Amino acid sequence: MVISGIGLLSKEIKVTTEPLLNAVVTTANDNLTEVVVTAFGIKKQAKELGYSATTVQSKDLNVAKPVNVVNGLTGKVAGLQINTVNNGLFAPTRIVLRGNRSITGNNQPLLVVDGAIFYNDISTLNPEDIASINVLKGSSASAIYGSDASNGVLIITTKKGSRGKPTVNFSSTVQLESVSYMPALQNQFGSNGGEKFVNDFNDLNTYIPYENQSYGPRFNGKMVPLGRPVADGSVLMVPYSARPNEKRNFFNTGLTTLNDVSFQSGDENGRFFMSLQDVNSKAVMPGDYGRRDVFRVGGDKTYGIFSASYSLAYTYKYQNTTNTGTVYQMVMNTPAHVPLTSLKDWRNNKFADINGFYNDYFDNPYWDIDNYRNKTTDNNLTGNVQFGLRPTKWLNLTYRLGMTNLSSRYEFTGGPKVYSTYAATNSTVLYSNSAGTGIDTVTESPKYIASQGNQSASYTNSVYSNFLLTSDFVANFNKNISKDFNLNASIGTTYIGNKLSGVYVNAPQLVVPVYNVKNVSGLPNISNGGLYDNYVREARKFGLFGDATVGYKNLAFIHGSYRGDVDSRLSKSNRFIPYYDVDGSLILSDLFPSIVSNKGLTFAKIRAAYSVTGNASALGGGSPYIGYGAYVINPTYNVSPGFPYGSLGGYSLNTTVANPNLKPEKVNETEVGIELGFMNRLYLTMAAYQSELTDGIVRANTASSSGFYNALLNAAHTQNKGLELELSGNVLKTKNVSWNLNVNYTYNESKVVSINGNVKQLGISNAIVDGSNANAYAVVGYAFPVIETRDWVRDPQGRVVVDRVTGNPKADPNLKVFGQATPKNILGLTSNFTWKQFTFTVTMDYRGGYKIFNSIGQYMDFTGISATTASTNRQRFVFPNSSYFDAAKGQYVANTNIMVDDANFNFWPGLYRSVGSNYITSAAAWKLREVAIAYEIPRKVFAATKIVQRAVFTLSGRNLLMIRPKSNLWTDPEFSDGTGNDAGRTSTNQAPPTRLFSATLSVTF
Amino acid sequence: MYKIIKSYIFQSASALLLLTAVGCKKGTFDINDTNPNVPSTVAPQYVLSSSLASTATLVSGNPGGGSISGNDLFNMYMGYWAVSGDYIPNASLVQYTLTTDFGASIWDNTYPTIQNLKSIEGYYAGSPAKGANYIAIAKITKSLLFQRLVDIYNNIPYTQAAAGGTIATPVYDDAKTVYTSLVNQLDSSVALIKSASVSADNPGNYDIMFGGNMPQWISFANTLKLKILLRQTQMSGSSAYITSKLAGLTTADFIGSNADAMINPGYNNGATNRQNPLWQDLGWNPTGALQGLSSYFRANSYAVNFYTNTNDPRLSLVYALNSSGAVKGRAFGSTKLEHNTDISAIGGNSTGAPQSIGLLKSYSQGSVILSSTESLFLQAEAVQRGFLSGSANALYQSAVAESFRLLGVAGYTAAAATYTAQSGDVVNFTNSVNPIKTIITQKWAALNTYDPLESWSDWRRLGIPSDLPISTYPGTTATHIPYRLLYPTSEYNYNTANVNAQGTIDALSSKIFWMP
Repeated sequence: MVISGIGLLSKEIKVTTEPLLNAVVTTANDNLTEVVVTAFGIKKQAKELGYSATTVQSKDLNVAKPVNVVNGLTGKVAGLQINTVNNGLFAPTRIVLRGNRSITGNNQPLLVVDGAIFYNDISTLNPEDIASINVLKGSSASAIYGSDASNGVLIITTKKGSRGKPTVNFSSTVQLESVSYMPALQNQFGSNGGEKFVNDFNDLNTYIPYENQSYGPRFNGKMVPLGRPVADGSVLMVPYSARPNEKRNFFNTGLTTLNDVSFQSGDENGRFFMSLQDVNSKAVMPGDYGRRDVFRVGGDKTYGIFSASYSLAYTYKYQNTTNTGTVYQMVMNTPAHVPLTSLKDWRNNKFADINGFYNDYFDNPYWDIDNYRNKTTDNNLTGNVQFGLRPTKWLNLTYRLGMTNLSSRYEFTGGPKVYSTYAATNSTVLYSNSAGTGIDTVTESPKYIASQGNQSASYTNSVYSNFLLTSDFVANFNKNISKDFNLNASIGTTYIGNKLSGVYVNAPQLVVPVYNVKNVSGLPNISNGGLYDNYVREARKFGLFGDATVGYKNLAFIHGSYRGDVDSRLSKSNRFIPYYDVDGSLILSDLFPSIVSNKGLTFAKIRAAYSVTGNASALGGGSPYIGYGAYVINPTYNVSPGFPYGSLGGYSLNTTVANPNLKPEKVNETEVGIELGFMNRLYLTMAAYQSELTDGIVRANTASSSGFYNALLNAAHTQNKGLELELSGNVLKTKNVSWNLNVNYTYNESKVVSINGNVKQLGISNAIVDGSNANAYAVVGYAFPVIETRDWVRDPQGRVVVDRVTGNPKADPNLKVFGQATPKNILGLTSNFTWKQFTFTVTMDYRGGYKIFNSIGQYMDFTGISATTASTNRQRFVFPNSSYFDAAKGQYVANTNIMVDDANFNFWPGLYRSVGSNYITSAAAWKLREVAIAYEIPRKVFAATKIVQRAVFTLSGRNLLMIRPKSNLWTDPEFSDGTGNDAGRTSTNQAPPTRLFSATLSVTF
Repeated sequence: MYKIIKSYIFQSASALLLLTAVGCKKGTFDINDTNPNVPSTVAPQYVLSSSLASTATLVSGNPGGGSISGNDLFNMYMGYWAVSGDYIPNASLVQYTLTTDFGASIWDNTYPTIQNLKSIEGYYAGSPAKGANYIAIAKITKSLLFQRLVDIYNNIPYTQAAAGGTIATPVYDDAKTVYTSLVNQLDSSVALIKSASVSADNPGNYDIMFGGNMPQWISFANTLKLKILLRQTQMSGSSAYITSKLAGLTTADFIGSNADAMINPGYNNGATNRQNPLWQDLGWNPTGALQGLSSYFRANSYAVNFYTNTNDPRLSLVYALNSSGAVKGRAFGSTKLEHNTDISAIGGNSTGAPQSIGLLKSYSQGSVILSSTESLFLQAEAVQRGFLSGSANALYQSAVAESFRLLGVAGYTAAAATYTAQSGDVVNFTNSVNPIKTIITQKWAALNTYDPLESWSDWRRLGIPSDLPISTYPGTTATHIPYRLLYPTSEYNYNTANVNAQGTIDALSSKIFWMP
């Protein structure tokens, strides 16, 4: 790619097969004359930028061979927060630049691939196809994208080929994944769910063989029955002792293979690139697997003043998973003495099938794994072509046509669950006697789950397609208008059209277990979003933009951009909305050459920017795809309940009032920065920003006397401010040794200024667990989002108030704010050390200043499998830091001796679990994200072949280590129950965290 | 050559720029004006059928689905229903310590229905002649709903209510002014129908109350007007107003015998929400299981005793037989251990199978909006008070007979005559020393479950029945049943300033304007 800067010679960006030996963590300012690709493919010198942008190159993204390129970006850029919110196949990620601004809208940056807006999941890209990612952090950098701009942009450039001799690169990776952290478990007590009062923890007769709760007697190694006797009268006898690794052993070692082949070649007039990647993965969750294949061709060609480039990619993605949440719950459910992994064969093992499985309340998780499957097949086609015309040196015309098309099919098949008559009616239970020396036969009610009846097979099928067409025209003028002044200006137009469509059918009950909706039992009920749905949503946007930089003597730059948006989703009177940016930079080291010295400061720049941008995603409930926001301002009528009666139709107005005045949210951002270079090898960048979102869209409740229940309003106001620091460069360089370091630090503080009039808070997700009502909220005066849940009743000193008689604390029914759900501080560190043939790379980061709610803790306290529930050996205890009210003294008195009245079944599963604050901990963590050792095999080894050019062998690991506060007993605080704005809560839907080890051999021919 | 290309390029570049800008044809960005998934406008008959169906739920069903949702409350207050002894009752319910949640679903569901009716009027705003019938029906139905709100809440948002989303916080209007306006609305609706041309749109079967029979809408509007006017009898100096508003009307202008105003869109057993609303509340779901509240509500011993003492054949039609084949009630608020097997269910249907008699006949029965019996009792009172000419006695006899007919008493005319010939002024009009008491007492006996709000209003207006029991629940301090409901939670949350301007409301002492 030949591009030109201001008064510079043409320069080629090296993007492809650079030797690993030269790998450095690159930032935008480590090469001051480097040309970076900004919005709409407009190229600029790094030094002239008046805003923050950090470029990460291919080799840095692929150090530890990520399947999703986002994982290779984590920890490497200041201001960028990436959460991999789950593990498992193609784990979903959330990317946020400079904090969350919008309460109901999208806060993730716009994705732009090869100049065209990209409407697919970033995980559909092959990381090896990416030449670089330029992170435009603030809205000043992205202002030209108008109402898509306020969350920053990731400008992704794919490979187009190399000039010179054709090369073929082949690489093969084997990646192993294993569970790294399990929630803290107790290994002392077996099953009892309150059926019998446990008075003596040595009395084996209080052990309940079919229970899923672990509030029973202490383990003692004696043989006890597990579950009920099966149809042939036999019962599974197991040692009454803990199997501490059983739950961890339930999970497999995941195995992923990545095979890459790419071809590239080119000459001075054109280049060609072609690649194929096949990813095959078996997850740690037994039975879960998936595959991804990406095929890409790209290239460019120049004929005199004409040029053309193109890139076309096809991605196939398949995932086959079970219902993680229920399976993980069932596994965690298992009392410690149950030999769960030996009960895998539910088809042949009479103690493992759903009739004979020990648990009265839940089925065998292995049965669920085989009988509940979610299958998603995605076909993505992405492509763009670009035509260039350069009639003179200073004029460049570009037209670009881009498209993405996702076609996705989802299928769920479940059940059927058919219990035997024996299981549903047998009322014999065998108990161990108190001493564990004999068996008592007792008649009770039959196995609970079996007596509740069978479950029919169920089926869901949905088909979804998302089509985006973009069409951009840019005219760029770049001319020295006088000896001292240079003008780099662009004007252009951009069009995006998005069409989404979907069909959804659900058959909750099938007559026969043949998975087709035609087998549905009974009459399907047709209602909005109910059992059936189908929709088409389409929206269009047109933008007119201008962008100009005036440079003075290549040391002072003033830049401005303007964008006017015409958005089909808005009413005609609101349809045209202008956005703009003004920024400037000054190269102090050129202005005052006296401050420069080769041994000290070699570069100094200051910059400032101000912008007004928009975010229209809240129109579509936070989806980044504009189609979702279509029609929200229109009044609509829905089919009324009960209708149609025969052929008699009935429609009623939507109870959310259509607000024709709705407009995009508005973001004003101010940014200042300083960039310093030392000894031409160390660079320091500092940026400070403040942004204000106004006209935030909220769904407000309205008085029903208005005729409606809700209204979408432009009402909310939030603030973000923060600091970004990046220190990077070469620390050490000798003949054989080179050490590069990148340290980045991010500080972000957000605040909800107002929501809607007097409304003080707004829930932004549904409570995921009963009792505690833990939920993510926007609360006026607090950071966004915060977690709210219930706490204990506390005295004015903050001590937990206990009842003077029972010693029990009491749950406070009111919800309290427990702190922000996104990190205030992020520190990232990447070190790249090269010695001869070896390159050693480490990336780690720290996130702190925020909280997480772990609902799995609640679940485990319910079952009594958690370490917490055994923390007092199930013996009564004085509630820590508690007090009681002394009516005689009229004050609270420290409690030193009144013990809770029970520390077993009557305490943990009910009272303790209902208080959500018990499951909130600091979410701070250090993580060792990537470690890689690459060895470049000496040329002499294969020189004789004359075919092999280069061979590199890499061993790498991901998420090898996580250091959390002791209070976090549960899981990875980076996890979240979704990728939406409602961060801060984890549940059993996130399987335990894992670590990955990879070995890669890469050979270039 | 190069120069030519250059100039060509210049021109084409500017052309291209312009082209992409305007190349988007006119209308390119109007694609979101019409939502292809759901209609943005629908023909008025569909909104009418839907609005009438929700009106049926508001008048005769349980719009909120809970035990404190609205009509259920009035049924309990008026001695028709009691809370089952198998349940622990909500203390606020049985002690009359109402909260803003009591009956809130009436308010919260009425205004959106009014909004839909207004959208029918809006549809014809540009062609009022064509929409005369529709506009009249919408106005009449709105009057019905607004009157109910006034009777429950006194002052209500009226002029600014349901303003199409333009007013988020409507102010409250004086209840008496609302009443006056409703009477005018009804008058103008009748005039509109009478002057409608034959080419005016007629909803036909989408009018799920009268099937497009406009004269029936006139009778309905007149009866509604009579109901509104009679509500004001106890206000001083109201006679002249009532008389003037009834001028020109005779008893033939109101709903007469065998002409119950009932809504039925075609209720069926296909799904719970397709059943008759009362059946949804107290009957059986499509799979034959009892609806949740069927077991929660039971016969009230006050009404059971009344029917028993007067040898009323309606007893076993209003209430089902218990396991020993008798009708037995329970006192409201009682804490006595009495099981559902012993206390009668509501409805007079023991099996769930469709039958032709009783309160609960079938899932497909029509919803009673304004029954012939109610209309005739209203007329009897109006004649008795001298507002209409005619025979109060004859109207009274027909009213009782119509109640017998509605509930399916065999040989209802003769049975009613026998019934009203008994002695005692709760049945015998001819010998009654207090004819109004006789009319209103029998009206109370006739409106059991079908229109408890009317009975509650009569009690609040006239104190009849005078021996209406109050809750026997321990801790009950009230000495009478509530006078009104509190404004709902949604108003206090989202229309705060306007509802607070109504001052402090006490359900046991704040009165509706027409109460003495």
